[in-house]
Amino acid sequence: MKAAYLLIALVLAGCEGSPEPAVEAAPVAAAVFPGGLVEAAWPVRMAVDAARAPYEGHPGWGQLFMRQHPEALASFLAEPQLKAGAARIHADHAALYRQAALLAAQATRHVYGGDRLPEDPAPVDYLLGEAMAVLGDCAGTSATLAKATGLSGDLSPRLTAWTTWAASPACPGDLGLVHAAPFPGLNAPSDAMGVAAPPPAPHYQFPLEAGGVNLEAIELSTLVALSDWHLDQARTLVGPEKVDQVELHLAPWRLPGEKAPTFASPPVRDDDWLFGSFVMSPEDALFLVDARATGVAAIEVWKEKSLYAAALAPAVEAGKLSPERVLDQAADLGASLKAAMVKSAGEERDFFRPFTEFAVQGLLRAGSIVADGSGEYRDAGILRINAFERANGPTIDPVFSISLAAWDAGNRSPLRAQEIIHSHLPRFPALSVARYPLDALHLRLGRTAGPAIPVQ
Amino acid sequence: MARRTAILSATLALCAVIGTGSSLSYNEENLPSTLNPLYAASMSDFRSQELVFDRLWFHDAVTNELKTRIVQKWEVADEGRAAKLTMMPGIKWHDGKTLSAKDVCFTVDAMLDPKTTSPVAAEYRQVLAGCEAQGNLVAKVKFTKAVHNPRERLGFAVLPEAGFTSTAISPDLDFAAHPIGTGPFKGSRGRRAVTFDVFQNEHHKPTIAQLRLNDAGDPTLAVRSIISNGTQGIIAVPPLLRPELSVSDDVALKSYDLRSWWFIAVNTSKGPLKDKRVREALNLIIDRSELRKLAIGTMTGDQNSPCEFISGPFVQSSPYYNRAVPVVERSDLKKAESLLTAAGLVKTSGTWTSGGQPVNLNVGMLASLNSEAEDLLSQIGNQLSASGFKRIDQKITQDEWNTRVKSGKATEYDLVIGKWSFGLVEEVNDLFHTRTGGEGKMNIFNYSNASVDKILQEYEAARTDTAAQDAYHRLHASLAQELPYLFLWKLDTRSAWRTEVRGNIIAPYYYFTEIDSWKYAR
Repeated sequence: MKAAYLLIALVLAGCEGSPEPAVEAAPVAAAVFPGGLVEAAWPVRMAVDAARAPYEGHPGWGQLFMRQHPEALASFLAEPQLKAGAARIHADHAALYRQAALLAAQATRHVYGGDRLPEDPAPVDYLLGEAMAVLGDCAGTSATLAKATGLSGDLSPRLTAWTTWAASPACPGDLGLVHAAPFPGLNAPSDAMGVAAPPPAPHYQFPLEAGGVNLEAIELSTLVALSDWHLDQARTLVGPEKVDQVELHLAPWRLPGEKAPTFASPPVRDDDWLFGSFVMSPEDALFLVDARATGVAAIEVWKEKSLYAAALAPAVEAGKLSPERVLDQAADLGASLKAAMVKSAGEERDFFRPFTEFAVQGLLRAGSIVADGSGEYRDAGILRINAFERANGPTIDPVFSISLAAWDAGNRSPLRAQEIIHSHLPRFPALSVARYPLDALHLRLGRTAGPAIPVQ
Repeated sequence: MARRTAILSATLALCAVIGTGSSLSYNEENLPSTLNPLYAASMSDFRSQELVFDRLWFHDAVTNELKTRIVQKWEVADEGRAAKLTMMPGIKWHDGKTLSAKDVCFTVDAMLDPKTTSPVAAEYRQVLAGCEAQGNLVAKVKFTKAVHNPRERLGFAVLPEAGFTSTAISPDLDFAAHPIGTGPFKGSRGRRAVTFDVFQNEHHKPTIAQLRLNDAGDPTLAVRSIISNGTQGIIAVPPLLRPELSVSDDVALKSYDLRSWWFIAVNTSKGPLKDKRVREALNLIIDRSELRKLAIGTMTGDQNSPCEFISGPFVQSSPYYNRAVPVVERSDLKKAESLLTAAGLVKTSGTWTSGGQPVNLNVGMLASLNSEAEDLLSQIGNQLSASGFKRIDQKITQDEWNTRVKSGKATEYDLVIGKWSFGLVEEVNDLFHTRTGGEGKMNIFNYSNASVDKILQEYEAARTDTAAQDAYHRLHASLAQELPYLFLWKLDTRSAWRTEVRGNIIAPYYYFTEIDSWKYAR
């Protein structure tokens, strides 16, 4: 029964209900990539029944594949030998709540920064300063916190702690401060699945001079602390010998000021961290770490080792990535993987389509990281949005979705971000914390926008 | 690898026809009722007008950056009570004349002219105070008060002074069918379709030669047509048909960010519907789960459902939505029956009567909704019939909706099924305020309730965002009690485009803002 579980999930994903959208342009023939990179990609290796068998044998992997995180964590924690699966779920939570913290910080930066109004109460400078800390802006944090006045007894020691931190070598990047007293920290792991929960929001209520109501706000550091709690769980579960896998998994989702991970030796291939993921190999993940810092230059360095770098190389035109060419390359990559899977399995199977889609969307996401690393902000956005729009069924990745919401918040664009948060709340209730600053952004922009009327 | 790329590039260059000369055909929800931006009443109107006109400022569809194509530079004037705009030189209207500051001021003056009966203009009258042309290219736009973000307030489409004889602009001018804009396309509205022909300009270089807008028609046929490349796009694909398109390698589904919610407006001035208990009973008779299953095709518990129930006049993800007010998902016929009996209705031979006469419900639905939710009108009618009401079903044309329903004149109906769409601004005051002194401009059945009016005025007067949010939370709770509307659901909009259409970024709300970058490679 258990053995059939994942296969059923894969078939469902492949041919019923909500199939994947079409590849942008059907290639005439499968593209050729450097020696063995396609064959080494996890979807191709797992096209063979025997390779997939360990993952089909447990419901936790099926739930992970379908992005049912709480269910998967419960399944994994029930069987201690599946620590890697539980660690991966915790690492996903760590990534997700870091992106939620980024979202909240971006929204706060706009509401109480550029879109600030005279009626905003003085303590919002504390919120703004903390947002700048999460965004890695040490000078901005110091300058903003220096203006914070009218703080209650609770907030005064926190203000002092952040002010000291902003002037210390720990800034930017080392946000370990969020665990220190007198920050509110987390409730003890509270639910049946052992997932930590932040204190119920709102955390603060600031009286407003007008209107007779309070401004409700959140302590942003709780999202960072929550992320760190999950990170600790993941590290503990895998132990020191595999902690690099956790770091590599989290790397694309680190906060702006955090340092990129470094490895004594490159992490080895481990299917527990690749199956159902948006990277095809550890080299792809390492390429993304590099691309985040160096942009297009990383493609040249990695194109013989990483399938994604190889696939992106032809999309570089005049030193920058062309979004249209990346879309073409994603189509080519999808076709190549599918052809290799058919060759490997000896026949076409229903689940090849969703497997392929992980690579297609993964490449678009990789393209957005490269474009961002090269300062091509809008092109990165185009690729990010294309990847998001293709997501369906198992490829609706909550971590990537929240990262898009954070990007939207950074662009002062709250509507899609609110929809994303709302749709993922049932599985990640602590996202409700991030709702407060995002809602504040929407209220602020909506009330100061040009006239509009309801229409059909 | 390099050789392969070179061969591929050469092949693409030979085979693909990209650029001027290509023509795209797409299906809209309905034909636009007008191409005059002052009288836009439906999303189809807004989308079409985006092709023909330039707004002073707009938001980039990817980065949300505030941009302009027609203003060269700007500055704050009169301590925030005005903005001085220098227009881009050399921009041509579709009749060949040159855009000038006078056109900007004419547009402002037209919106300020009380004889311009436009709801859009009425909203701008609260913001704009006047305009002064200073030379050929400089326009000083004045505001009613100092504003901290003037460009955000200047999102209106610019009209040509030479296209009108007066600043009193009425909706029935020929301009509504054959407008003159500075946008990328010159539009012409016919009886069955609208054509948009490319107009090359200093600030617009679209590569598509022509767009042809068709009425939605039968959604199943529209889906077949796009699969067979008879048409290239569908603006709103009904959820029931999305799986068919998502398995096609030739069509891509695209998100369209729009906040739309559906409702049944109740004529609270008519017969038994005056009694709140009867409205509450109707709210319990409507089985939303069943309707959603039959008309939208999604079930309770579906992950990432495009359709989500609501209990008030906002989508659930909105900060104005009051999450303490529960949705009514399933019917409760027993409770409904007891409410109707308490309201004095008598059930005779399975039919509800009032004063000895059967209660007839005249139910109308905006016809274009059928393309998104097939047979919704019949399904709602069936539920009402099954619970003992006589009913007449009627579809309402867009024209009738605009001229009679929205203006509160369609009082022969008891219930009207519709949807409202919003962007960033989710103000609903015009839907529920008593029709008086310019308020309640879209109050379908002239609903009037002093306590609701008071809440709406509190929203209007709110000095802080929090106070405004608080007012709308109270409004939501109050409307869920009073039930001038039976709130149904929000429904996501998804478009479909042939994959040969490239670079087709869809702008939130306005849709075609980035049309210049669209390409059609045949």
